Amino acid sequence: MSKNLEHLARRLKDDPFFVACPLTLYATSEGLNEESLASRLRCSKENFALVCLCRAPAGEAESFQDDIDRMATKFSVDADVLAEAIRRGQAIFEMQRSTESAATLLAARDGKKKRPGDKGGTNP
Amino acid sequence: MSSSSDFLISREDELALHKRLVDGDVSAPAEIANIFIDGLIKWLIDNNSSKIPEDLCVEAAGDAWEALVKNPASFKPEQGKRLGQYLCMSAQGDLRNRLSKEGRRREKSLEAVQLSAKDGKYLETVDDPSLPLRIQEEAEQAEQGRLRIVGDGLSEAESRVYDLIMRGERKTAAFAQALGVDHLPKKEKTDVVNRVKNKIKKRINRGKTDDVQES
Repeated sequence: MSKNLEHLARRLKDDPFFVACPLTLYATSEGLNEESLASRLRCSKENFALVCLCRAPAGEAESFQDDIDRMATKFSVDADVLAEAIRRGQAIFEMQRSTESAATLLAARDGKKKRPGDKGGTNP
Repeated sequence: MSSSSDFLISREDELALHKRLVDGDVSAPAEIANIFIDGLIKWLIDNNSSKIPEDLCVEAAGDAWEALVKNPASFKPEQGKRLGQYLCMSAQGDLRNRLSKEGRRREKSLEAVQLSAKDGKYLETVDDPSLPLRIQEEAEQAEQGRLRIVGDGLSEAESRVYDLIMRGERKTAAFAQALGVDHLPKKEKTDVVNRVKNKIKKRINRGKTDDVQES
């Protein structure tokens, strides 16, 4: 198995298009490194890299379970653990994103607030 | 994939894999990476200057793979190109982009060194990794420009002779056929061919002289 595939998998860890992203977030939430996550998924390190290079199935899609089964069969991974890890990782990603959006909104609102002495402002 | 024409899977398998990618099969990107990525990196390393850092080739191969899996329709099998060839061309473009970016980054850091330290001793240590590729490209462009100038004003038949010369053809029969004079007696045919060849060779030499004068 090529180190290049492992390198490619690592560079995708922030890209939600690929399975690498939710698996990385899941691993972090569980305090796992790559090897221990591969072990939990009951797969080799090599197949772990290949799973990371798969397109992430949409969590809300009807085909989610079919997609999980396809990856699990193709790369000899535990389907239940994979499904749980991807769902949790995607949930964490969404939470992080909404937290960042809220923080951005708050910062924008604070920036718009007028000081008490400013003229013409009616904002609370 | 020592050359882009080395095909790692059959055309049928390749088309089926690409169709799965287009259809949104989640495992198709991994399978494509598994088949092509090592060969793609090797191809980039083999077909570019040895001065280009290997890690840039690795990243460029990754860029090309990522672009394909995110936009599968960018590869059009009906145009006759094989997937390996397409990935090589795409990765070569990505490598060029990465080299340009790297070159700009280095220029900026150079400016920063000049502005902050005003110390020229750092200038000599900079080794721009994009330089070999830029030189290669500029040489190719110069060559293409020169050949275009040589070819300007030639008749259609003379252009065919010019192409044959550039391809290293030496047989009089081939030139005679290109000029449409292969029906003439041998002596006459040889004279016509030599006249046209000399005309073109003079133009080529003139082009080279112009280059030297310009530089």
